[in-house]
Amino acid sequence: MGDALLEVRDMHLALPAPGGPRSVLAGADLAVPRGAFTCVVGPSGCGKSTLLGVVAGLRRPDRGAVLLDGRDVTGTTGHAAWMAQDDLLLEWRTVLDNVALGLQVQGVRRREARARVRDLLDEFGLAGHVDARPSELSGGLRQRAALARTVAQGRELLLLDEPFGALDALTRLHLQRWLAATWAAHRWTVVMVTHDVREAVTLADEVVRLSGQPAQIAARYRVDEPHPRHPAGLGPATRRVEQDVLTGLGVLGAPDDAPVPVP
Amino acid sequence: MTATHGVTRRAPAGADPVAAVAGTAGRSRGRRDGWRDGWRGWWSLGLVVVAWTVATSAGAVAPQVLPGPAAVARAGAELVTAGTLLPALAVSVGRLAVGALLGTGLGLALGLLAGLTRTGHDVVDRPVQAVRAVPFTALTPLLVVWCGLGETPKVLLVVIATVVPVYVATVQGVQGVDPRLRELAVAQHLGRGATLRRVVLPGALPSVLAGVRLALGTGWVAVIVAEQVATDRGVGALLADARTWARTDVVLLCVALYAVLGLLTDALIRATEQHALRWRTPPAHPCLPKEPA
Repeated sequence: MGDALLEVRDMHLALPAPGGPRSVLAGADLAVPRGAFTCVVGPSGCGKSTLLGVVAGLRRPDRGAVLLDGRDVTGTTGHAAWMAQDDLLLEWRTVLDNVALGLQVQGVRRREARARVRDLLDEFGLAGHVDARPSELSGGLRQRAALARTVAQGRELLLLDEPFGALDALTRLHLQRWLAATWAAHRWTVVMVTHDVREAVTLADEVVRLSGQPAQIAARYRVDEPHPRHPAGLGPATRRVEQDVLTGLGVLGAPDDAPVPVP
Repeated sequence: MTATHGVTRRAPAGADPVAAVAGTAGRSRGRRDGWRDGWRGWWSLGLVVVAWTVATSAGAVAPQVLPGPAAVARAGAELVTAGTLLPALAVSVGRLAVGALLGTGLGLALGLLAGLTRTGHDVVDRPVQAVRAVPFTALTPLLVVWCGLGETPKVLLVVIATVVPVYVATVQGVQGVDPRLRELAVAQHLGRGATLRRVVLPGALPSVLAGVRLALGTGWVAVIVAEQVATDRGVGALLADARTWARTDVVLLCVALYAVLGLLTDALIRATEQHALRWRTPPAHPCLPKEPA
């Protein structure tokens, strides 16, 4: 735990609901080492995204702390780059200017910010779409542009909230494979929320499974297969982890905690 | 790094058929269509002029009641040579320009205040809505009493006429910005100023420009109304003189001038919109579906 870049301690959060405040997070703990890829999975609506939002500083927890490199960053923004399921691209900016946004607001001049993100766009397969508007891009390309914008901020920690959740199955496979390769080259520290267990075991060093609401950490699974992995060519050990996670989620075999209600 | 680059380059190549389709080929075609669409509405106006010509030259209408286009054009040439038409035009355009500039600025400022802060909305909205409820033409006598007969009441009337549409459009535009984009602003560490400049204002721009277009329309009405009341300069003064001397051709000329000025202002805003909002895909012309067989 000592070399963790990100630590989440004893996170508690209740959100207003029709019948009085409802507990969403009840004591979640996380420790993410520098350069590691952690995936958070859990039943639908269990509070995965809320947990990520709290880490990003979009929301302040009722109790608990978010530590980055030992520094308390609870309830503040700016320590991590966060990306939502919707790409949230600004339609009036070109792809290049969307990706350069983070640098620009950090005070980098427009010309320099553009120059600095060009290589990144190249690497993200967006070289031919630098001057396109988001409305001219396919869903997969939009997601890549949003991811590039997140990476371009140059933060140590990337928080990805179901980045491929809205894509069709084929595009998603392409992007998973591409992200696995790109991440292996850079080793960013990533926490990614997903509902796709195959995606989780393809990308992650560690898969964290949340329980149903109020969410706690139900189990952690290590994935030791070397990176980059291919979603359609995972090794037997990784396949076994996938089975374990699915079993834990109550999708396969006997569930090891309360049965998951069908959403 | 070079080796890994090879990997990352190759990986997306598989996904790129999608990318190849989403090219920019559609763009230039869209622009040409836009140009054609810009002209297609004009033939109907041309038809009106033709009908006017035919009616007057056939002698169906007495020339004192409705002079033909040729007579109006002659009157125009006469006024240009006399050196009265162009200065009058300049005065009227100037009144609109100054008034609309002030009104738009004020409307924008008030709209942002009311759109962005609850307190601002509480303070600003009711008074502006009250002004909106009063037809601005009703204020003309009051303005003359307050400010005399100079330029001030005329420009002020234009300000009052333009401030309301711009205000309404700005509030609507600001409040219409996708709230998820504000979430993005938080995540990207944008701060208030940057969020306003880079997210809220560009997001509200389509609505604001629509408001400005509307405002310039009512702005011309304000100019015309103001120039009906005690003027010695401007197109309105020409109109008043012509009425005194029963010069129907000059009256018609002035009416036509107002029409042309209005259309030109509208075209100006349209061009601005097309430039500033070129990121927007133009909406298809709405039409009813075919009758099912």
